[in-house]
Amino acid sequence: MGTGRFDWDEIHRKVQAVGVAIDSGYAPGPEESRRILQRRAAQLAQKVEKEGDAEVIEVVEFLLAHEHYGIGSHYIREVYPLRDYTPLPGVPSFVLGLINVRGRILSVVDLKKFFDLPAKGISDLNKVIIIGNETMEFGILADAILGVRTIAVSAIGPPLPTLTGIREEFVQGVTGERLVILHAARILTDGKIIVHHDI
Amino acid sequence: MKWFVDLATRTKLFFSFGLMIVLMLVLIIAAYIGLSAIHQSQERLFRDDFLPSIELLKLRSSQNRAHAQLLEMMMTPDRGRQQALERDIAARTREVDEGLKLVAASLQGHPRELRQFDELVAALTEYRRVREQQISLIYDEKSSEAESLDAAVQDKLYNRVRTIAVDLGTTAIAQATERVVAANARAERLSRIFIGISILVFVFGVVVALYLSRIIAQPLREITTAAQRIASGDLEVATRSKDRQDEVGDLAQAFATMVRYLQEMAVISRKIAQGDLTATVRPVSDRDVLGNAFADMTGYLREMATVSKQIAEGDLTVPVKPASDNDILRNAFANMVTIRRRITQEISDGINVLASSASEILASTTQIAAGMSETAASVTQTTATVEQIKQTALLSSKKSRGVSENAQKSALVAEQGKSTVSETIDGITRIKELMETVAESVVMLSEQTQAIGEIITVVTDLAQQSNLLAVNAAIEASKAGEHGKGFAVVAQEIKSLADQSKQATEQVRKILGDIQKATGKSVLAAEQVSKAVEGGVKQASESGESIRKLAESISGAAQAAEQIAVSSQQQLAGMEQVAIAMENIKQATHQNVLGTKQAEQAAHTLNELGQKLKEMVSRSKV
Repeated sequence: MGTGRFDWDEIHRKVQAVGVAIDSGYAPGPEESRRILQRRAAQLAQKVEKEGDAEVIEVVEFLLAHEHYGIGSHYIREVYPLRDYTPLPGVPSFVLGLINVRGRILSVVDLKKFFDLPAKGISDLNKVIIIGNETMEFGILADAILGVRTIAVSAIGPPLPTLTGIREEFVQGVTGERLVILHAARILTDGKIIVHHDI
Repeated sequence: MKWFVDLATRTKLFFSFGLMIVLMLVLIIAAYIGLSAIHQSQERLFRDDFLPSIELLKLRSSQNRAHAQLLEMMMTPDRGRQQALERDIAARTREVDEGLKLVAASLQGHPRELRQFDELVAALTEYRRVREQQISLIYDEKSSEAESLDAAVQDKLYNRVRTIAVDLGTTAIAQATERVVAANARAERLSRIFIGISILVFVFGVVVALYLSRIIAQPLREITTAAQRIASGDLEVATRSKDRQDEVGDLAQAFATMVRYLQEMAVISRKIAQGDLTATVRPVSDRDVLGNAFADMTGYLREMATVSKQIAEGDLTVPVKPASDNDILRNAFANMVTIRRRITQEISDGINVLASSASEILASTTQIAAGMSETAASVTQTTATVEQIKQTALLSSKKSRGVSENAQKSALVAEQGKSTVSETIDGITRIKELMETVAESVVMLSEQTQAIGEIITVVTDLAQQSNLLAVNAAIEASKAGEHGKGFAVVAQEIKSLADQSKQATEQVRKILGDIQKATGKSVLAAEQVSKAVEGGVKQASESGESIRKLAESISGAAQAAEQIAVSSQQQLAGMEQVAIAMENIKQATHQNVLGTKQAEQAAHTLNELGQKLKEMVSRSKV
């Protein structure tokens, strides 16, 4: 067709090579292997220097409307994907509904309503963090779970003075990395969370 | 009896019925006399026998009463009563006297009875005398004397009176019985006489009626029968009783005259029916309707015969005037005359036309003869022209044959071109099919890419779950405190693996997107190639069509040239036939000239015939 001849032999060769590669499974070459190993080594090397006898807490870090929040893992029973929930009529708007976690019926609280954060749609990607103490147990809605972190108590600064009302009450402090540490014990004992309405 | 037969019928009837009436009168008078005799005898019976006996009874009764009253007077001391009784006795005595008078009158002519009557009267008178003595004694208050007187005398007298009265009564009744018997016998005699006379009168009446019937009714019946036969058309009848002098004889004679008249009329009718109109009919009088009608009829028929004769001689001017619409014969004649007149007129007109036509034919025939010789000259010229045309046709036949051969060669070449184009189209079509196979393979690849995408989604989901699992593991590890430290590391490691899996799947997704884009491009290119191939097929088909049309027109031209050659050949043959025909025409023209001459002669003859017919028609008067 065009001016240049189409090299059918070249094409055949390339296709054959791809076929061979797929059949034999992925095996990175020696250079590739070395690069991966170096990256992992660098990651592991960073962690060591902060180790000391300073008082630390472990928090589970999660996202609420693009803001990073953390909650002490001591109060966390587990994290759970939000699959099916049952909306409950006649309750305040911060109660999303009820979920069934392995036979336990728990209510789910949406903290974004307390913190006046913009509401996104609820999807399968949403997760529920189940917190509890001796008396209370309920779930907190999270947009995404980022992981478990260990934070030195000294690194937690006071909450921002702009925070007032409920936010001030519930927030324990903010780290330098703008991680808002929530006061899980207060949330669990707060009377506002308990719904006691006569309908 | 001839004289009776000759009497007028009125006289006959008068005589017969007169006799009957006389006999009846006699019978009636006899009956009247008989009846009066019976009446008289009865009257006498009453007067002479029954009246005296009744009067005697009455007399006895009065006498008894008077006697009883006398006895009462004797018994009664009362003077008033005695006087009243005396007055009563006087009244009874008067009644007795009157009865005695009547009895005396009725006993006239009977001497024995009169003697007895006289004794009765004497006894009675004695009795009355003694009674007067007794009454006077009673008034004198001597009743016992009166009583003794009574016992001595008066009682005897009284009995005597009574005996005589009874005697007289008995006699009267016996006489009456006798008389009744006599009257009965007389009445019986009278009735016998009546019956005899009545039978006589009846027999006489029957005889007279039968005789009258024989001499009057029978001849009338004969004449009636004859009249019925005439009414049914039979005129051969004979009548008797013509020699009689009475009305029946007159009727028979008049009837015979009528029959004779009708027979004469029948003879005349038969003659007319046979066409003999010479018979003359003389009506007997002005009132002879039939005779007059016959005279009119013969006159009418004679007139019609005259008219027919005139028409037969050709005179159509004769006038025929019908008397009415029902005058069929005159109407028919008038119609015939009119129609004959019209036909003659039309024939005359036709002959005139015939004559003029004949002269025109004569003129035309002369002209045709002149034209014929001109035709002969033209025919000769035409023959020469036909010869020239023959030469031209020969030449065109040769030329057209050459053209036909050339055209057949061209058609062969066009056929080859057509098959080449067809092969080209096949090749291009195959290219198109291969291109379509390529496109299908590309599409299949794209679909498989989608399957890979789905697998990637599953892997992503797994990575997420692993991540969550790692978090939960870390939470559990922290709860375990110091013992969970190692587990926390493992959880961290799991989390990092999950993150890597997520990144890898992102990359794969990106690559799949690239592949999808490339596939789209390939499909587009394959489609364009396919379209280009379709255009090529279309153009090749068009070229094929053009070549086919060219081949068709060339073969058409070849056929046309062939046809031209054939028709030139036919033209040549035709021209030779034309030349032969022209020769024939020449000969025919010559014969025509001769025929025209003969026609001219015939027209002359026709003209003369027309003149002759004209003359003939003018002879009949219209």
